[in-house]
Amino acid sequence: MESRSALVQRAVREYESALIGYATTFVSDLDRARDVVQDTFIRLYDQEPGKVTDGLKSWLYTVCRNRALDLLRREKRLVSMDDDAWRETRSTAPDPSETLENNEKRNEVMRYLERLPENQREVIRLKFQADLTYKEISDVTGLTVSNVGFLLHTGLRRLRTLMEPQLSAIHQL
Amino acid sequence: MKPDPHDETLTAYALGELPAEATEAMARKVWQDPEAQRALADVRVLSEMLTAGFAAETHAGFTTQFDSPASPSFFEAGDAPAGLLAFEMDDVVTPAGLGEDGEFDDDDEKVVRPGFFRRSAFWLVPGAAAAAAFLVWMGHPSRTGSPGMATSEPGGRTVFPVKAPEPPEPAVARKKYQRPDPEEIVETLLASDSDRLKTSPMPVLEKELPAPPAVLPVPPVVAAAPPVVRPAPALEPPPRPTLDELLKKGSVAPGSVAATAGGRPATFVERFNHAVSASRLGGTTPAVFVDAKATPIFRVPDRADSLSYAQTRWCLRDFKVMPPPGIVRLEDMINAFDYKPLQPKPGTELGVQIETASCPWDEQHQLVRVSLHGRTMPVEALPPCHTTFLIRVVDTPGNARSLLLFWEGLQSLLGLLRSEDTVALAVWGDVDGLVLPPTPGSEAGSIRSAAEGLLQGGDGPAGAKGFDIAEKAARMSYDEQGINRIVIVTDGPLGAGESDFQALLDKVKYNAAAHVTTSVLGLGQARFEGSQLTDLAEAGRGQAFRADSAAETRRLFSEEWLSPTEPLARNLDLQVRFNPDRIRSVRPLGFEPAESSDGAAPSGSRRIRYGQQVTALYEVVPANTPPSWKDGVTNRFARLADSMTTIGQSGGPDWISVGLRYDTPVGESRWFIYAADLEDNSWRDASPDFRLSAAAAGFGLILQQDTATTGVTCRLVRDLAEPALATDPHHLRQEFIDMVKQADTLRRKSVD
Repeated sequence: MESRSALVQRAVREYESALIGYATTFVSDLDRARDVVQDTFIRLYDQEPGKVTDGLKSWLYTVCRNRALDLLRREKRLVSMDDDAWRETRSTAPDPSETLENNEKRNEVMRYLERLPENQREVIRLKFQADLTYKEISDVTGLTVSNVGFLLHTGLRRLRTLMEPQLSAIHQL
Repeated sequence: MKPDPHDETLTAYALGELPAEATEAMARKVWQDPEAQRALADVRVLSEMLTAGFAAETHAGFTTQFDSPASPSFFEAGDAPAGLLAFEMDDVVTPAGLGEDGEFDDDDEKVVRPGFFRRSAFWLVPGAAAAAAFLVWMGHPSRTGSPGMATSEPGGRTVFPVKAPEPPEPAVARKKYQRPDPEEIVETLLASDSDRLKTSPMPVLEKELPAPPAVLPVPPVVAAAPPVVRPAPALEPPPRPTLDELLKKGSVAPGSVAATAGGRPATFVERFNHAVSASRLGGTTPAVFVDAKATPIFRVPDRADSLSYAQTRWCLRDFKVMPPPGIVRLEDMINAFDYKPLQPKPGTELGVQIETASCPWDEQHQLVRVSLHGRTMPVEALPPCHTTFLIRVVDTPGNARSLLLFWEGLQSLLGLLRSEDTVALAVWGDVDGLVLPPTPGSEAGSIRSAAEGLLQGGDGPAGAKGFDIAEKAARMSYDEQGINRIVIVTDGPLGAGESDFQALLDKVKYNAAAHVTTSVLGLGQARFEGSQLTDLAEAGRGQAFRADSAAETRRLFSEEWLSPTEPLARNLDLQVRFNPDRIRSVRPLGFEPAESSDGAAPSGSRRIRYGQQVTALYEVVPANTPPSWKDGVTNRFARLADSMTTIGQSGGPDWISVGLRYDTPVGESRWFIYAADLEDNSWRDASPDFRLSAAAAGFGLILQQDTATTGVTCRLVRDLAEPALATDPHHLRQEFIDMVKQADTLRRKSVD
């Protein structure tokens, strides 16, 4: 059995960076994203290791998400408790990733990604960064599996449209 | 019905989210519909870009500052939970080199103190460190090779490097292969082998053949039916010696080792050792006895690699030297043979057999043989088998040898094919092209004559690449009810005409989803980068094979070849447990023991296919020989329970218990427990298969120069294997005896 400290160490090592990225989907600046993630790991330390080891990744993303939303509520940025309300709100953050100094250098797709609504961005991140299945994404976000499928499909379709010239060029080669 | 490219189901399919049946249905639909294929390709490209894009994001966290190699022991020390305790315990965390007061020594040092941790620690990190990390990433060499990653042009624009259009091939590259004289092959083989010894660590045969004669000798056209594809009449190749003759010629006579190895056999061994240690295989450690209490559970993987056996044979047969002990793997020796198949009970896919007898080289010990058998499919029930061979043909002697091996195997396969089976031949390498379109097995003559022309290369549309050609051929013979397989036959490289390995993997995966599996056959001393061989077979839902002698290729292209490629069982877990109350210590002969009994599943694909066998041997020392053993209790092959909970518990009445767990192809899980007692059997009365596997292990121990095992001699090994020689369809066992004899001669010489 993995000890509590070993579990947390492993979780920090494997998921910290990705979780911070995920948290920026909601809180938009890195400092607060780190706070959220730190909070998540503290909560992980309070858990019985046996209970969370299996679904560790889903657990981390779920808690991280809830912490982020809590933080937003506390900061009164979220006037309504209605989740749909903030889903409609487009992020105003200029650039969630301060690590990339030069926007020009960023992966092109990541720039287009920012044009997507927040809820589509979130599922795309959970799918391609965290490599979660539809079911796991549904567990984390509370959406239904078919909702997840729809959001991912819509998001990807939008990206396809946005990047049509690049994709065509790729296929012609 | 056509799949709608705007349908969510297609996206789910592209992302691997559909259940198995829906995936198959969708794969078939997509197969027919170019628009859906385009949508699919788009989603896959986007997936790659997104995955790469997210992976490139690095966010320095609150612990990242300690992750530098300069302070490696920070988190490992003590039981403190990863620095989180730092602020919970209200304690000062002071990495090496910081002041006691916890204040900043200077801006570069990372100091953590209570209260400060929560916010302030972060501002030290992100700017410089993350930017530096990004710059390092930008310059990392691995980026340039991976598809889907963005690179920056000098102008600052970001582009995706995808497969660049290949420059038109120069006319020289399309030259036809001229079949060299077999004598020359042998000569060059010998020369190149000594060349190979001079280069290390992993030499590649690149020696040019002497220029072929301007006119090939003996041109009369004998074949009544000219090969199907090539319009030009085939030239009758020069008389073809059998491969064994060739290999015999290729071998060095005993005593001429000095000539081959440049007069320094010892140096050869050193160089060989060096080469081997640099290769993937690595060295092996001699088998040791372990306390049965310490390691009560041994896990048996789903297969052994045959490379070690091939290298051992290569040393003994071709070079007449003892192989370096480090390359010998006992499990490879034991699993080099086909044993008598055991049919599992009706309704089950796998069967386990346990046989025990006294240990031939130490009668105080017992030998336990555990073998796992996959069910075989009766010949009449076999579905039609459509095989497209994609064969690497280049102008090197190593390749010429591998083609001879393939030729031997194909001869054997042609004898088995039914009229509903087809074979297609495509080549890649110097020339990419189709040599033979799918041809029914009843037309063995045309297949044979086309294969003879393989060395002359094939014809194909200009610019078409090997794998695409093979894929087209496989489509021509596609049979929904049958087995559709592409087999990449190679003497080393795995490109199959693709620009890089990843591109090939993608195509292979695409075909696998549409029920065309891809397998790989490595011939001769083929070496593969890392796990490429198995990765490719895995992606293609096929198998990875190796063969380095005519006997091995014949064995490969036997009835088993026609069996379905789908695994019979997945997620295999086979555990062997020895009762520590009754057995003092155990020595696994091959298959390293599992590090712990914590339930971690063994690595590998963990799949068993039709007719597959895995055999493991254990040498055990009984504790205090209790009466029940001497009383001669018979083996009990019993399915005891439907759970494996008793496995792993101490005590219990049985000496050995074997737990078997697997999932059936329809996803049903099955558990079995088999138990056996040690018997007062002599190895002399044991089954021929038991004796043969003991012989293989014993020979391995000799070659490993195992000092703990003094009782095993070459004489004993031959005695052990003797009864098994009665059944030897592919001459593999005789080949083994020849190796033993050779080793014996060499040992005697070294003693003299």
